Amino acid sequence: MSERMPAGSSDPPLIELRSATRLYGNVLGVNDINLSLSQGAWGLLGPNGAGKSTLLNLLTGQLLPTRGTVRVFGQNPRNNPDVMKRIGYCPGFEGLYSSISGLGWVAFLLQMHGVARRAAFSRAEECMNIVGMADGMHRAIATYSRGMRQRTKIAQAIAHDPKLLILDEPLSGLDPVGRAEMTSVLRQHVTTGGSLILASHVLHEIEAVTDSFLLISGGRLLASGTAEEVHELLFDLPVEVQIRCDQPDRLSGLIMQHGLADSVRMGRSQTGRPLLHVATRQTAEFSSRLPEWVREHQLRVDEISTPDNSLQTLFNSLMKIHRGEL
Amino acid sequence: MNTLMATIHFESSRVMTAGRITWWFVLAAFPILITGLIRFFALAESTDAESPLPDPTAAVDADLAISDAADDDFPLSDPTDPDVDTHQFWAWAIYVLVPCITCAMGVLLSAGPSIATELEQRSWAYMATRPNGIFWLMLGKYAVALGWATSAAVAGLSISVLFSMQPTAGRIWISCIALSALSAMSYAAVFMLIGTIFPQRAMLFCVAWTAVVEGFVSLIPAIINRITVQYRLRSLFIDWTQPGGEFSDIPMFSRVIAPGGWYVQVIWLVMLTLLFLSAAITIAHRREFTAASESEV
Repeated sequence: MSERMPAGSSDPPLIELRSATRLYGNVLGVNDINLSLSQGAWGLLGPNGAGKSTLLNLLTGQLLPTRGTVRVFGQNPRNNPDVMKRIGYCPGFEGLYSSISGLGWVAFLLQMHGVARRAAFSRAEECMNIVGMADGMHRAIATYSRGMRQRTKIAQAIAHDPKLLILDEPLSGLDPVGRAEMTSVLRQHVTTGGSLILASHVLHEIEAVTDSFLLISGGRLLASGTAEEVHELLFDLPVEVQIRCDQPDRLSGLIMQHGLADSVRMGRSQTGRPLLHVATRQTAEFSSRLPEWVREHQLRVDEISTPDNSLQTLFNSLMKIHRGEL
Repeated sequence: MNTLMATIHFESSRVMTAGRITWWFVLAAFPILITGLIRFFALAESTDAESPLPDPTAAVDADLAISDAADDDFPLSDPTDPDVDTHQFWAWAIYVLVPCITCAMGVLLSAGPSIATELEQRSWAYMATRPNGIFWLMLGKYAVALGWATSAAVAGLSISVLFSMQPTAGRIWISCIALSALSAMSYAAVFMLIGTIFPQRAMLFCVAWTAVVEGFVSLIPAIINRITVQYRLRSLFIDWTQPGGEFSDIPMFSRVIAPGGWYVQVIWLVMLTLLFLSAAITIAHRREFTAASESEV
């Protein structure tokens, strides 16, 4: 199980899933997820259909796990007013009332938390200002652009000052300025002690807010932790080197002859030229031998590319492991 | 309570659309149109020869005479009096048009699809993630449906009853106001339950329920009709507007009219309402509407 707890903490974990599985009929939403997260900001990263929204629905109590348990603040979130008071949820879809003003809607949702009408409108106005909706807050939502709707959704999520924000693709539909502004709002939430789970299939959206992430694919949790921690997990895994040269057959023969690769695969680049994919754990030895082979066998190497240490590379590596390609 | 009031206020503001206001006027106009037409043709025929509806002026005279004699007793309790037919005709017509049709239609249009509309526009998730959000949402929607349908019924009733030109119009009006409130209260709970169980085909199932259970089963002279709203409303209507006992004395009617005082019927209606509404809220809490919407996608 992935444990992300500060040492000596007696509080229950922010989120705890034990063998959490959710089926939609015969379709697997999430599969046997074990996870324990302490407070902080977490990026939930995965391709479309990976199970991100299902996981968020489990955390917000909208779905029950078919098997296993889900705990948020140590409690079952399903129909639990105490948990609902402490979470702010922004779903991936819109679901806004078109005839109501953004301000009225946010104020109404605040009143659902028991806030008095006048105080609710005051706080709603404040939140609409925070998300940059000062100008349009009195207009009907039907007149809003997609970006304005997205900002309004974020406003309703933060309005009751929740301890945990659960956001499903909160930056989609926003222009670059809007993304930067909303990223700043989310960072502010985290720096003031709030926790955050931010689901996205766009890596840099998550990187802009946090370097801790949960990688999910096919309903399974592939990895969790910071980029460095996951890199350590991948330390023993082969590194894939791509080489574009004039004699790929000969070079692949040399690599295999010296036993420097786990696998060698011949492919083609986007321009249609031969491309050698070499998976090796002996990167140092491989790097020193390659120039010798080039010189001795008159090879012409046009391009060598190796993975960098970015989160994108990490993500790609984990996805390949998941698919059995590494 | 603050949350409930907020929900009612919010849902009421959502009802204030051109389409919903138009429907409100259509509902209110329905009994007015029908009773207006009845009065128009009755007057037209009475000017030619014998009218099927007695002269209303004569009825007023008769009423005054009987009222003097019987003090506060119901003035048309004598079944041999020709005005009894007129009174019964108008009372039944207004009862069927307002508490039965207008109220049932009103709550069918407002309470029936209330869950479906939240699911269709995917606003359910916002309420489901508020403390007791579903509970307050359903109570708020119920209250607004009740107010919307009852106000249309009262508006329609108030004008319709004038067309009756009956000396007993006041009694009919008061009785039908109470019956409209009880009808809307009970049918709104029934339709909310149906809408929660079958959100995708709420209107269809509500119409089918009304036709089969409230229309047909309530008239079956057996135990089963006792759990219908219509059975209780009909009994109340007869108790309040036909105090002569002529219906309950007829064997054919005795099994489609509930025995007991009016308070028994009111208690039954309140109990049925609480039962249906509680069931609707419980089902809404237990069902995973998010899962339903995802499986459709």
